[in-house]
Amino acid sequence: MILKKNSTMDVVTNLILHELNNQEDLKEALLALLGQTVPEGRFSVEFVGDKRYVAETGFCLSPRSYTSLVMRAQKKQDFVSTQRPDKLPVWALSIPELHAVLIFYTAGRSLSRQGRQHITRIVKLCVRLFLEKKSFENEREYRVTQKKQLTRKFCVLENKYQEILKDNEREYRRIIKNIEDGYYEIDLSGRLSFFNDYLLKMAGYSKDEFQGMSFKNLIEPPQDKLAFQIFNRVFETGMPSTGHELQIVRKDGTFMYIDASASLIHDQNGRPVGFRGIARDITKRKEAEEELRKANYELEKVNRQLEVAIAKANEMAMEAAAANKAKSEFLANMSHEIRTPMNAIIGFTDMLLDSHLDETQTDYAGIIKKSGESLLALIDDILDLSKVEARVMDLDEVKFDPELIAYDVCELILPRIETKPIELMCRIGTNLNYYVNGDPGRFRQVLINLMGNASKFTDSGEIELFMDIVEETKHQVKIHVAIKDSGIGIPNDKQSVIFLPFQQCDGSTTRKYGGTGLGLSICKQIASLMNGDVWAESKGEGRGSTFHFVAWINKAARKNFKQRLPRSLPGKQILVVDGNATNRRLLREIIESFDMHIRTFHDGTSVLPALLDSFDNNPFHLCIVDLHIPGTNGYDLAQQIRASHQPFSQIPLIAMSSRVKDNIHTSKQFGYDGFLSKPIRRDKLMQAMKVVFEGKETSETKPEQPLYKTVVLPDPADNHLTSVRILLAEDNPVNQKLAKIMLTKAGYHVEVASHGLEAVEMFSTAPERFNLIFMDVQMPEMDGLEATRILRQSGFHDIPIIAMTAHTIKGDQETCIEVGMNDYIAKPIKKDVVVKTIKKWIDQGNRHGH
Amino acid sequence: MDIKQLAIDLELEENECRELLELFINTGISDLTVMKSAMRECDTSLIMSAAHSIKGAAGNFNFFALSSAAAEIEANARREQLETVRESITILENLLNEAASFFSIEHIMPG
Repeated sequence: MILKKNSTMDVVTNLILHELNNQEDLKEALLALLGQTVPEGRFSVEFVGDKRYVAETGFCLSPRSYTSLVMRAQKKQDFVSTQRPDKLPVWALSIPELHAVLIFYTAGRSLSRQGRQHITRIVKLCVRLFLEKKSFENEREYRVTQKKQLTRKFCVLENKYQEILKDNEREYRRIIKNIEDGYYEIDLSGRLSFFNDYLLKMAGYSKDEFQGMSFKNLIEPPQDKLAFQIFNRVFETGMPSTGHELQIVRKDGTFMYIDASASLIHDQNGRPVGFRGIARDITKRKEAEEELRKANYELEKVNRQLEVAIAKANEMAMEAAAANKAKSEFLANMSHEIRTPMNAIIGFTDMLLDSHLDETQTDYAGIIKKSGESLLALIDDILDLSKVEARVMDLDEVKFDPELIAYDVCELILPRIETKPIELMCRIGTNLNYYVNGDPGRFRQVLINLMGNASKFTDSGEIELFMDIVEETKHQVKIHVAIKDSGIGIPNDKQSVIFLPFQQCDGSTTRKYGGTGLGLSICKQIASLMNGDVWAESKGEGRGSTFHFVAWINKAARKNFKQRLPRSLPGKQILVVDGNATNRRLLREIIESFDMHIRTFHDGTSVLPALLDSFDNNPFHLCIVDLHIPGTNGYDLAQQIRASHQPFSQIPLIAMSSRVKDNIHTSKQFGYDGFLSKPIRRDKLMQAMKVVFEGKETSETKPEQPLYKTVVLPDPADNHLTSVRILLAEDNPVNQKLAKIMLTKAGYHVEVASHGLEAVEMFSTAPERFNLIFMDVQMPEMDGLEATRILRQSGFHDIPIIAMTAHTIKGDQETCIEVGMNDYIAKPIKKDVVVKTIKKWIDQGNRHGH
Repeated sequence: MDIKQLAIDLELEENECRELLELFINTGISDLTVMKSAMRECDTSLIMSAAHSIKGAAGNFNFFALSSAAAEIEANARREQLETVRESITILENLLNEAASFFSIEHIMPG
């Protein structure tokens, strides 16, 4: 037997000592073994300790010797011996492993040296053998015990482990059972081995039906192949796989969508035994996706339809635009087609009216003319509207003075209110200090329309045109025109309707007042082209109305009214008599703006006393009298002043009237020095007063010198732009028409005479109406040369007469100058030449004091 | 040249230009009628004034052929060369008709 290491021996010995703990048994076993092996020997075992030992009888040793032997053996740790009295050796051997000492001798025979060595060796071997045997037994026992303990521990641990496993499994199952996703486990053949309730609920099967079912029953082709591929890949790679969307069939045959994952299940030995995974119900998501897809599809479809619709709409819009253009062209053409014969109808009716007709015939012809004119006006309106709608109305860019247009329009409207007790006023605001670059024709058109309406819908009271600049940028001014009347008013609910085409307040308006209802609509469109607007205000029916027109127009030159103020005006005392309070206020505004003093009277009764009272201290320098004041009229008042034989009897008098029949000739007969037609114009009033004061001062020797001639001439500095009135004498209708269009477009007023005689008559009757004559040289009845000669001979030296000649014969031009013409232009007529010539002569006229 | 261009040249609206052209053609025809009847009467001054009228009107549109034909009539009438005038009247009539049809202007040409 191979001895174990000392350490093992120690362990064994300790174990023996500790675990067996039975020294007597050990002693007996050792003694038995020695007895069997060495029958002739006598053995004793003494367990060591602090005591005295007593030898057995057979040893024949005293206690002292015996104790000494034991002690020596213990100390030497090997055989020691002593002799008995009979000389027999007694040996003692320490057995440290047993904490004992073995004492023995061999009885009966005497041993040789070799015999003694032999016996001690045997004994020693026996003891060693004993110890080995004992240790082996003990170790075996220990091993068995240890194994038992380990097995026991193992069992406990195994139990615990199983318990934990069971707990885990239970928890795991509990979690799996409760999750809101399907959980499955299948074996390698694809049969369901485990699953949670949710999966059952999802698939609609009972637990029994589900258990052992193949996954292929749940997935229809071709998706089953996909599922197979997934499991196969997981099996081959050992890697879990997620995010597979599959369609599965429920028990009831309906479909559902799942998002599935799969991973391998291994047994204790790591061998794959199946798959497990989560199956999440994504039916709602898929349905939503599907709906979204459908919606997208629908959207795309709608988009496509929309695109088609838009294309169609564009096409239709283009067609509509084309149709609209065609309509406008048609209207323009139709208007033209109608206008041409209408002109003939009106022209011939005029001729008819000039012939000898009886009263009824005159009435009828008058109706024809009036209807013709209405129709022409309507056609013009329609033409304008169609131009605006067809976006072909372009605005001119011509320099003009809006103030003059305001005055012109008032003058134009005057005949329409002649028969009605209406006071017409034109008030220009103090901020209106710019010439502007715009379309004077369209600007005038709006004003004429609004003023025309005011005159149409007002039977008595006042009409006031107010114009001013209300806003200003670096390059533009915003002109505001307010036309206020005391007419029939507009109901609140109709105030915006009236700006729609063909709309008036109601049918009765059309019946009573006529009109097409296009005018305001056109005004609105024109205003819109000028980045402005037109709107109406009225406190209601019967309470008058105010029409507003605003337009943004480019600035031209600045107009400094004060700079042109004659030095003779400031400081003078003016007496004004006017029955109308608004007019008095207006005159006060104007006159005070000339730095003059004004006192106003509403009738003539207090005028003479006032003139007398003030004469010594602060005399009046001028009386401006409305011819139609209440009580004593203006004619009587002038006569009274002139006949008063008072120091003021020669005071300058200027008459004012809005009636066409009143003029300088009639008023002069009653003692007036000047005449101003109403509405009062600031420029004309200034000019008239300048002539009164400066004329008086420079012509003291000839106080009777008539003043009217210059008084009635407008101020050319302002007027060459829009207020120049031209008499065009031309027989050729084509030339007539062309010249008229050109001049009107350039902003001039044109009146046409068809031959020289007519030109002479027209000018002589009202020389104040014209600033310049264009005279064709060759005309029937009376040619241009003759007409010029007559006019000059009649004393009309100041009016510029410009020849228009197609003559190329040398000397023609000299002839023209010889007969008194001022200048000539060659035919055919060219706009720039004509305008240049007008400017040349109007400006020159100004320098020459016209 | 068309009406549009003519209108631009004359700084007129197209409809104004058309109106003017119509007036020109119609008064031209009227003058032509006067000329023809004056030819029968051998009234040279009437021929001259009618031709002058056409000449002036045609000049406005830069219708040089028409204008010069009319000028020729005026000059020959002044010289009382009526045969030449007769030929020129025919030319003038053709030119007027051409102008009318070119600008699509309806008119009644007297026989």
